[in-house]
Amino acid sequence: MGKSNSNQRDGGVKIYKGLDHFEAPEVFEPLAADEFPDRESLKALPRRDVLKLMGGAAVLAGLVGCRYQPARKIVPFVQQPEGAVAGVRKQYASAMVKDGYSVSLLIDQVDGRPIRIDGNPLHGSTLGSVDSKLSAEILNLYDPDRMKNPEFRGDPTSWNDSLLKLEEAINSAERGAGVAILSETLNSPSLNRMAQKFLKNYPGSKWYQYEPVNSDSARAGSRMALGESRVAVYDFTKADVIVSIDSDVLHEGPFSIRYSRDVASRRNPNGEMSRIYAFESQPTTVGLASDHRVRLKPSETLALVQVIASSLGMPGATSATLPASVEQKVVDAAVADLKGAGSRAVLVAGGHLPAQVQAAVIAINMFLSGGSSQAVTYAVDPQPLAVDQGQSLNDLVGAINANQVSTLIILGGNPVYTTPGDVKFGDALAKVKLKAHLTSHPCETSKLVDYALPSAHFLESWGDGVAYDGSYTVTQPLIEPLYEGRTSLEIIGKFVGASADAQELVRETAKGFGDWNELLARGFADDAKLATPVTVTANLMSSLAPIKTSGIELLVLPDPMIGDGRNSNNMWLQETPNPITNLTWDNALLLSQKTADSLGIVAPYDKKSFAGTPYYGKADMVTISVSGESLEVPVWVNLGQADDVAILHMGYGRTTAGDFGTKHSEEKGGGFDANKLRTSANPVWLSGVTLKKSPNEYVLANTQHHNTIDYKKEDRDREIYKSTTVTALKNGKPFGEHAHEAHHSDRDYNEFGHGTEASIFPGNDFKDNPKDNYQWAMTIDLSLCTGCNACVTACQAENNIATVGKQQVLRGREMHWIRVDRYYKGTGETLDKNNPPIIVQPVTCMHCEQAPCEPVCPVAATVHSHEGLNQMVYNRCIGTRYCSNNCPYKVRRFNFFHFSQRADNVPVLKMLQNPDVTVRYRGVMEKCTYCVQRINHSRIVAKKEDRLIKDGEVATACQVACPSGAITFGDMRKPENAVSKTRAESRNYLMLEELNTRPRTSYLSRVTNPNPTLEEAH
Amino acid sequence: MAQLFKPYANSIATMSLMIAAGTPVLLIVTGSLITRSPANTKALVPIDQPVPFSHKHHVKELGIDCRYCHNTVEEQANASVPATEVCMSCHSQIWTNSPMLEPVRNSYETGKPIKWTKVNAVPDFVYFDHSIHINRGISCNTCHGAVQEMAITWKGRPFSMAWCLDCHKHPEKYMLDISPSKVGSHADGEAGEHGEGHDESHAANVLTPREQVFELYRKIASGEKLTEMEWRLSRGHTQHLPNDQVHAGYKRMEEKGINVSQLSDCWVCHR
Repeated sequence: MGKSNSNQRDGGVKIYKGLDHFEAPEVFEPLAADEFPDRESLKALPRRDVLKLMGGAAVLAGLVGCRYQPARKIVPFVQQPEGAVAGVRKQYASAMVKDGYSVSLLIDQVDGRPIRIDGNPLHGSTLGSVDSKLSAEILNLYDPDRMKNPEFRGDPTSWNDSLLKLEEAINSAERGAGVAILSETLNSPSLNRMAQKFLKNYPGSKWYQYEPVNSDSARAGSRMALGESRVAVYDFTKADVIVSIDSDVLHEGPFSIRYSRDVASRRNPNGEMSRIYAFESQPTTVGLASDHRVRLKPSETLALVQVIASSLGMPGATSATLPASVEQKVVDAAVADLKGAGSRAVLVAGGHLPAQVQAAVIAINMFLSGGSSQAVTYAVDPQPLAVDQGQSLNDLVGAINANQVSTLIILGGNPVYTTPGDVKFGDALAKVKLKAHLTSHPCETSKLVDYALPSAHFLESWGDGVAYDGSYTVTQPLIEPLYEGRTSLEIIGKFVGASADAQELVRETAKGFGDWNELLARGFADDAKLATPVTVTANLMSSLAPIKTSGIELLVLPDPMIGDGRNSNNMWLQETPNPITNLTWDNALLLSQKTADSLGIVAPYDKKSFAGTPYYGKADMVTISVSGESLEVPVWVNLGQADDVAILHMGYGRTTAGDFGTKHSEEKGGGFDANKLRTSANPVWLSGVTLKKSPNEYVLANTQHHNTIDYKKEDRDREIYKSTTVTALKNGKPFGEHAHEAHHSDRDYNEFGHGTEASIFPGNDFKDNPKDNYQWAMTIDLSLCTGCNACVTACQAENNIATVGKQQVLRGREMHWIRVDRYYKGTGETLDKNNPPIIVQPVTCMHCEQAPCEPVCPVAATVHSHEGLNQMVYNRCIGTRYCSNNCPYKVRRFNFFHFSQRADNVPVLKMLQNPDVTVRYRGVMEKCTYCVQRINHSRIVAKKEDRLIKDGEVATACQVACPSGAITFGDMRKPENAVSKTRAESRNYLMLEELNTRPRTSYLSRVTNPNPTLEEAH
Repeated sequence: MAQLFKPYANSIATMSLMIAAGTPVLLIVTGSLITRSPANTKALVPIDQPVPFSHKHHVKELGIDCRYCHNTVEEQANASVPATEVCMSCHSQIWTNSPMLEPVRNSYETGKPIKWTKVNAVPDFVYFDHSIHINRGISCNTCHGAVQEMAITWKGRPFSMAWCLDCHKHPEKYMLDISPSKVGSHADGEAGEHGEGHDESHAANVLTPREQVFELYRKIASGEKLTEMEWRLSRGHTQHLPNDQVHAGYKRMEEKGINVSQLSDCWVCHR
């Protein structure tokens, strides 16, 4: 918080949606407010044509309403399967692989089709929550572009033929010599069993593993520090101090969901708050959750870690020069906190950092705790067959190039696309005589092989795996394979002559894990105990090799949504904005403001060509050159990123990936292939990168300026986002030291003196009608939100929300019912463009008691329910959009075109829709319903049992998904309910309370726990 | 110069004006009458089915409980249309050669389901739940008409929104309390089983609203004499109720905590 200014409220804090908001408000504000930012293009249409079109549209629109209901059929079963009731939702436990380890899930199934993925509350990997990628996995199942049947060089063939040919090849080679199998991370104990059998039957054959996002570096660091490969399992519930070294541990990795929940459990100011320091190259979810965020180049992490080590007084620690971007006092404060917390302090290193940093972090953690840390355990890797995957890939390609491989079977993955550019996997593949690829989608690899075989989705197949904590998980099918898909387990099982029934193979493996039915019902067996004591290698700290670096550094990281490209064709994930940059449908080269300036990048809003073009403008492109490869990519300035660091996400620039994943054109998006730049020596982090501005431009679809709440400059001090520190909170300042407004717990009056009685809508006092049983309300805790966007995708899956595509996103027409606003926080009229505090705020329909949308609707399509819900009635809506215009929170979404058309026309996508929610047609306004289908379901269940709905019985989709548990929902009439308690907290506030809309969604101000010796970061 | 307009021109002009003014009104009235008529709603129109199944025969003459076939009506949103095997549980023994049942046997043998034509349908944006209506004591006949009299099934009511809302705004007219207690030898019968543990405060022979629903059909099936109210309900006639029934309805609403204003909120049925 900055210096207090008597003229300005809240210490003059101002928040900006982007640089354009700060630099060019005169451009930003009118355009952010404009429903048709590209209205210039409309003016090209002659007036008479407009009138003709309008007339035609009116006639056609009238005719659309005139339809007979077609005669429908009822098709009952012939033999009723036990427990099968039409329309009844059932949940089954299953598991899928996330970043190499399995996570336990609950799958909702209706009428034999899985429709929703939630976390398994019993299992530590998910604790009942999901992230965007897990939610969206359901769409991957129903993706119409999936590989459907086996193909031999592009022509349909049968499984029998394909397997016969492969078996012939395997058997014809002497003892399997020349046979190679390349799988993704081998996580399944059953598959491992089959693999071992295969390797025994064919001793000449080899098994390789490769995934572009792997833990090679962490494993190397562990070997360096501990002498063996261990995995770090954190317990953030016991971590008083967390120092993140360029880590995104709350968003990436197999335990990210659990970690989010654990970190959140210590961010409640009523309890004992943890303190988080984030030293990072780009803003991450950890950085957003942190108390102090410091920018740092990846290459400088070693120096920082060494400084921390020597300041802690670690024996053998060599001192280093502190990186220029890090202030001494921050390190001093962090070191003091680490010392104070001892075994309850933990350092976390990002998986992409070099092995030396990983090793040093392990050593420091061991030193801090004297070998028995409460916050981190170095456990035995539960993976059945863990290898260094970069090495494994090199071995394979080496063998191919030495003509030692005659038959290659690729199980999953897409190595032609995902391998580093210098590996030239595609060229190597051409040298293999017989090659097969088991794949979910036709892809770059399947195009180059002889046999392209369809793989079964995890929801269609039996399988098993190990979770990060070592527990054994079982995957059970929720639906028969939609196409001819099979799993790796079935194929290898066939080669070794095991049972053709995958369930049998899994059951055999699961024998040691108790009762089979119980195992299936729970989804997992209890944790294995993998923690055995470890000792740190002597002289580790003095023997750390320095990191050689030069020039600009490039990080190639998995995209937060698309991952390594396996979700390229998933339109939900393409359209869920990147948590930090808010980019959709494309990736871009992320640069700091200073680095962009030095390249002469002109921001879109500063361009001469801007006048008369749509608001979004065009981004300048640069050519990245590194180790002989070059790539032209558009630039996105990512405030808070370290200078001289370039970040490009993988997963884009696909050439064969289905309708949405394939890069067709700038209009449809698809991004740029970062794998080209990677090398097998430096797969993630590259230095010596040169960037050169190119004359070309590229349109990026970014949502940061969409649905802007307070766009007028004079309004910008509206406190829509409030924050404070834990010290200030204890001193009775729930909204910061400088906020002069006290909290109005009764909400009858606001600062302008308007109370309920002054309202022009008398009688809307929903709180006090004795006949109403429930009054629904939601609270979002800004202290806990990390901006991961899990809620956005979960809502999309629950509420049948359509995707609109890049062109419509550019026009601000994305349909997400909940959005996460990302703001840069400035002080007074200044904004630190290097490292501004970044804040995130989920916004959804506020369900205002005095909703501004309601009185303006000419057809009463939006009206209030007696339980306080702002109802949207689709079948009444005629699409005037007045409601959206009058909504101060900008939470209403209009279906401009028939965005759900694809769901109507593609049969397999019909199976995806949630039957409890209407699929909306074009010309209809829609918005968050507080998941009224869930409320109604619980109400009926309760009524049948002659009781009231219990607190916590209704949970909205976003609430269930939220990994950090930031969302509370329930009936606010009873003071003992969770949501009432949050509403009674001193830091509870209503967004734009001064408008007297009396929203039901309230916020808890963000509380940080900064070190008292440092200025508060945000 | 001859008269341009003959005297009858006045009449023509008047008529023209009247027609001009009347036609739109007539069109609107006719249109709305047609939409509300069975021609559009298909109410009271018998629907052809692959098997000419008679509810009258099975319910009234044979005395089979509704729930024998529609077995999830008390528990779930869908009442369930029976699987072929339910038909065959009897028809593998009786009428085994009846030509009318050929599609049923065929379905059972081939495993291909019978495709019934939907008789009672609500639009896609309406979310209806049978179980809560039954549990509140709304009789099947209130919405479906006198099913026990239908040789070929038809839609008993228009299923228009106004018709739904009539009950959702005035549930007292439909929450009847007409068969409050068990009678005769059926005191330990099926209805009793369903009541067990459901509401212990009820005396043994006082029926819950849900049990009353099926007590009516038991009486119909067993040919017991119906009270006047029961007879009216069995016909689906619930208009112009006597005062005591309306009071009973209010009492039930009070007991069950039914809030009429909430009941007619849009999002109760549309979402």
